Amino acid sequence: MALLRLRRPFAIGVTASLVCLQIAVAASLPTTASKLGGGTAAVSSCDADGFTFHHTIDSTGTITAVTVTSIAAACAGGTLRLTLANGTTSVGSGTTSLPSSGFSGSATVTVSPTPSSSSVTAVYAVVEGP
Amino acid sequence: MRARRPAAAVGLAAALTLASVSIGLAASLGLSSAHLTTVTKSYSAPVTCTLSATADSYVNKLVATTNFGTSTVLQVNPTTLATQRTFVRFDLTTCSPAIPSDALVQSATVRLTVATLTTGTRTYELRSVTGSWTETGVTWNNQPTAASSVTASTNVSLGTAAGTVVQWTATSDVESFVTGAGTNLGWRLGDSAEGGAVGATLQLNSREAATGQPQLVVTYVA
Repeated sequence: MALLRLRRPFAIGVTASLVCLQIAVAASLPTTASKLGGGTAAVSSCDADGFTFHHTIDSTGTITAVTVTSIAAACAGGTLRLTLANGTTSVGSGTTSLPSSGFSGSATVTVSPTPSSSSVTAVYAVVEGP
Repeated sequence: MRARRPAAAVGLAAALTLASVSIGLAASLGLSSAHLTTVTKSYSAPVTCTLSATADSYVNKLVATTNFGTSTVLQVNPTTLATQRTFVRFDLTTCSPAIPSDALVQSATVRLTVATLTTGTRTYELRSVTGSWTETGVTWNNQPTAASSVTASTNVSLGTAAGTVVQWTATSDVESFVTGAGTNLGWRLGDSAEGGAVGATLQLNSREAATGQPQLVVTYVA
């Protein structure tokens, strides 16, 4: 009985500690992207200070490509996905791979379809990985 | 006492189950050390600025060393012996508010006003200039090079009245100038079919004219 009296608080304590640990881990995990909000994997950013976007426009006034600059070296090896939007509607998008070695910090994404420059109200860029 | 031991065991089992679920989710996502970086650029309302030319002139093959930088007209002519081309430049840095280098140019239009058109209907090509020139120094012999690709073409018809504004879309060039991908050295206006014995001379108002001076209208978002 004395032994049981010693083991019971110990077991309860271990259980409580594990539950608390789970809660703490779940609370501390970053969820950068909303689509991963339900997950519990650790997701971090490879670039903290944002990108700069330069558009290439052809003679008809449509955007054919977007050059993204100021990409941090930590993003090398990742995949850059870019979407041009008019409000909440995608009007053009493209993807390119950022080289693992010799990455210059910039990348050009060819856009398809090619929207009129006057129709674009926002640019969304996502780097997945590395 | 015995009744409470299973309760402790159940709690421990629950904690272990939660841990397993967490590990399982992480493994299934394959993101144990992944990066996911999201950057959004939302543009503000469009801004339009209208610029006056800071330099303009034309050159004439017939008088190949003569400069016309102070003339009140700009001329274009296709004939072989007296080919004439017009040069015009605008300073984008004088736009107010200033155009940031990451701006998205929605439209840019070079607007020139017809002074006289002698005869015929012609097509006039605007090309970005790729060499340096000055308003009071440019001549046929030292005229700068121009891009091989045409920025825009516009027809001017016989009988077009003086004072009519003719425009060329230059959105691509201006975006290039703004971002620094290209250098703003202005534009050259020429006939699309230079050569031949005869041809119309298009006269346009220069920045020295009393009215209808050259303009560049730029609309951008940033």
